Amino acid sequence: MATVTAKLAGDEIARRGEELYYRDILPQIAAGNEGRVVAIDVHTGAFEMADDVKTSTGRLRERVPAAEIFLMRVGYPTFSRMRPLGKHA
Amino acid sequence: MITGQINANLEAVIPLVVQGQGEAVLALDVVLALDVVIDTGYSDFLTLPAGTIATLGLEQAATGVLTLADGSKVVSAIYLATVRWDGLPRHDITVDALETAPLIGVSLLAGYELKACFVAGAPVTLTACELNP
Repeated sequence: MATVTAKLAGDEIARRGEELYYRDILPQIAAGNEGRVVAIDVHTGAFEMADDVKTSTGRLRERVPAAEIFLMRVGYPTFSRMRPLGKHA
Repeated sequence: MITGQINANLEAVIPLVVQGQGEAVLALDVVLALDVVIDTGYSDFLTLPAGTIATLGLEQAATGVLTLADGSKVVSAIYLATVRWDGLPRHDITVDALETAPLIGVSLLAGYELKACFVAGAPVTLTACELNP
C-alpha cells in the first residue's frame, strides 16, 4: 500500500503546481482542450488531462501512487471560480 | 423535478442529500441532508465547510485554487462525493472546501431549467431540460 511521507501544505502545493503548469505543461497542451482538468503531481511534475477530476486524478495515481495533486482547468486562471469568467479580467 | 424555496435573504435554496464514506473502520456510509444555495456565479459543483466534509469522511482528491467573487484567490482542498440528484445518485461530484453555507454551482445545474420567483417563501424548481442544444 502506497504511503505519502511528506505532505505539503496547501499553499505550497498550489505554488509548485502553478509553476509546473505554466512553465512545463501548458506549452504542451494543444488548442481545443479548454475546460479540461489537468491533474499535476507537484513532486514529479507528472500530469494527466481528462474531462473530469475523477478520471484525471485516478490516472495520475495509477502512475504515481503517492502523488500530491494540484488541479488546473485549461484556459482558466484557477480550477474553479465564484465570479463570471476571469477571461474578461 | 427538484423543489426548494426562496429564503429570507432571497437566495434560492434546495435540499441536497450528500453521501460519504464515513469512518473507514466502520465502513458505513454517512448520509447528510443539507440545504444548499444555488449560486450561478460558481463554476463547479458543490462547496461544503470543512466540518461537514469531515463528518462525511470524504477523502481529499487534490488541491486547487478558487477565484472568489472579489477576484481574490484561495487555496481549496478538493474532494469527491456522491449526491442524490433528481432522485438518482450522481457519483464523483467535485467538492470545494469553503467556509460558507453550502453552495451548488453551474456544473451541477447543467442540463436543468431553474425557475424561481424571488420572493421570500416562494418555490424554486429545477427541471431536466427537454432540449439539450
